[in-house]
Amino acid sequence: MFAQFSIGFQMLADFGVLFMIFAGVCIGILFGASPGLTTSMGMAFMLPLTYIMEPTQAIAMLIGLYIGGTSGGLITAILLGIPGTPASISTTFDGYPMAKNGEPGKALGYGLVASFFGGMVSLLALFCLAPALSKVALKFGPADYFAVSLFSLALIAGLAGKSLVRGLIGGILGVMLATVGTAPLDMTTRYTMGIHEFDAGFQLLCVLVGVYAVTELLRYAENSCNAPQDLSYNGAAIRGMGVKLSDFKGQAVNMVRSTILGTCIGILPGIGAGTSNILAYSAAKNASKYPEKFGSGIKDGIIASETANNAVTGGALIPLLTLGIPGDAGTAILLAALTLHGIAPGPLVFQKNGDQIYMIFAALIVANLFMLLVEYLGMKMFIKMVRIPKNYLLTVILLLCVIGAYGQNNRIFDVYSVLMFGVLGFVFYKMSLPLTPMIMGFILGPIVETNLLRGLQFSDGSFLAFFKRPIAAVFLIMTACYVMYEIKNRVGRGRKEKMTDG
Amino acid sequence: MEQFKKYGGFLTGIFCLLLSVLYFKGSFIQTSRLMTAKYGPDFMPKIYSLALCLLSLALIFQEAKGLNRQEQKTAGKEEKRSEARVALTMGLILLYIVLLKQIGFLIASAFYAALQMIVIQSPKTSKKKYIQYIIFGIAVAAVLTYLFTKVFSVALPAGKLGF
Repeated sequence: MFAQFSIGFQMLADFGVLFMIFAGVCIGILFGASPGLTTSMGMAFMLPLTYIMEPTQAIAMLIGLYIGGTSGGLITAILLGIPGTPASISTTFDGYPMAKNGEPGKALGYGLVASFFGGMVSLLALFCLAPALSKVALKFGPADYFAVSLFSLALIAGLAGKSLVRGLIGGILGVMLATVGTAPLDMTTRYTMGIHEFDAGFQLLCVLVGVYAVTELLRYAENSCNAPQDLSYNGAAIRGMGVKLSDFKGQAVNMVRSTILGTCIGILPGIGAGTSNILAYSAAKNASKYPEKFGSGIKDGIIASETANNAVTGGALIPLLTLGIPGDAGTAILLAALTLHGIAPGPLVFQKNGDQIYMIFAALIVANLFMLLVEYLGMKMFIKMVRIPKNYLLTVILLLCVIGAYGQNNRIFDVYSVLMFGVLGFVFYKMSLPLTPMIMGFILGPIVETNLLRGLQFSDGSFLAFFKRPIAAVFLIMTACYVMYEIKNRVGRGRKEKMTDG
Repeated sequence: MEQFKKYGGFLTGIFCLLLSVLYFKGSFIQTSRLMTAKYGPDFMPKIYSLALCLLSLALIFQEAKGLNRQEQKTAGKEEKRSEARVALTMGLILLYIVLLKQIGFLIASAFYAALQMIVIQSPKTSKKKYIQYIIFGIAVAAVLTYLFTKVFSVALPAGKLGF
């Protein structure tokens, strides 16, 4: 393992590759720190650029972007009370009050150190669990893959937001969109309406760029009458890291608990940093001796939230690398990038692409170090960059998206697809249908269908055979339990809300 | 618009219900080339359409139950929204894509960028910025064209003018 790690680090020992990680971290922090722009959006924009890069440079850059983006949200969450990404929602609960209390430097320092800790410890889980899990994954048959992907699809319920029904509708629509084109196994074309360009189905990149970038532009256009042209900054001074090692006294349990929570949530496909920070914050509050102080600007809240959201990064890469199942939108783009550059994530990835995988591990460590360094040194500069007027920013982003979409296959049709998915995303927004389940449905739908049909061919059409395989049976039962739990939970919550309204 | 807000959930439910029927209908006209397979390419689409149909009905039912409550809740503050800017932005992007093939990336992008920034600028911005937008549009289109064609060797639509 150490020999492979040294090969991984050797692959990174090139100025170009290190520069790409650094650039990725910087761009990621910019996207993470800009409210409305997310890590996955940044990754989607940069993915087309990686076509022309060497595979090592391309993957290194996206890894940097993933790490930087997940952490970058803390800057605006703490200084402006606006979470840069959903991953930093609960950072605002205590971070912003602490900044307003005259300690913005300290709040940022806590966030920074916690992000670094969460990210690095979750990588340990990735290093230890991923090779072992890939050996288990080798025993997976189509029925097991179907059960795992069905479970992932069921987890969409957790991403559904306030309305479970709307979330599930979003997921189903995503799955339906993925059926356009050639069917798995027998290659029959479906829902193409005689348009030959639809035969290959929709490109994941066009879907992502459309629903993130174009939809964001349309949403901004709709609200531009109210939107400020830039964000105001309270001007409080930030000096150094702002915290000392002794400030973390008594936080060890909080940090370890939040890291475990974040890593476990990362491992489960379908749930991401957006959920982990809220869960870790609630857990820290429930376990605290002074829960009433939460929300007033205490370090416990910032540490819990930031440790957990960065711990997701290591966890989310485990199912991605070993099963080829992305945990969230960010890892879905990483999956696209890996496939594009000749690495096929799955049970055999350690045998076929062992060196590249250890290069990814090494890149993750370096990206976390760069993240700490860049955020420490560039705090003031990032605040200024966050203030770029959005009409400039979004216009340039759209031009980049057009280049990216066209550059894939040199087809104007792909550019039209981006616009189509942008409009679709806007319609989803108007109908209050969440977009994340749609994207997860689009990615997981074909995996579910292919493996179900394969499994049924093996079992001669018998569904019962799926329950005879232990892994498949466990995941199918887990799916049923999760769905029942989610329904029960939401019905209970609905009743509580009704009683409060009454 | 107020009516859409009030009945938005209903309309979404009905739209999805119709979609599920059309999708279900679409699943029948496919023929499986693997005649031996018990479950062909129409199997999952049928399940998806059934699931969407049930969920649409659930949404319609939910909306019918919660309409009165929602009416009271949404009666609060109202933000100004601009549908005209959305329509203009959609139209601009469509025009941009059409023009890409005709006049090439450089000119189409400069034209689009300047107009797009004007369309989505805040009403508070002074008119003097129009010149700034035009200059920025031309500059950004030129920089991107140079960067992608010369540095990264990416083919961009050249148009009839050849650049």
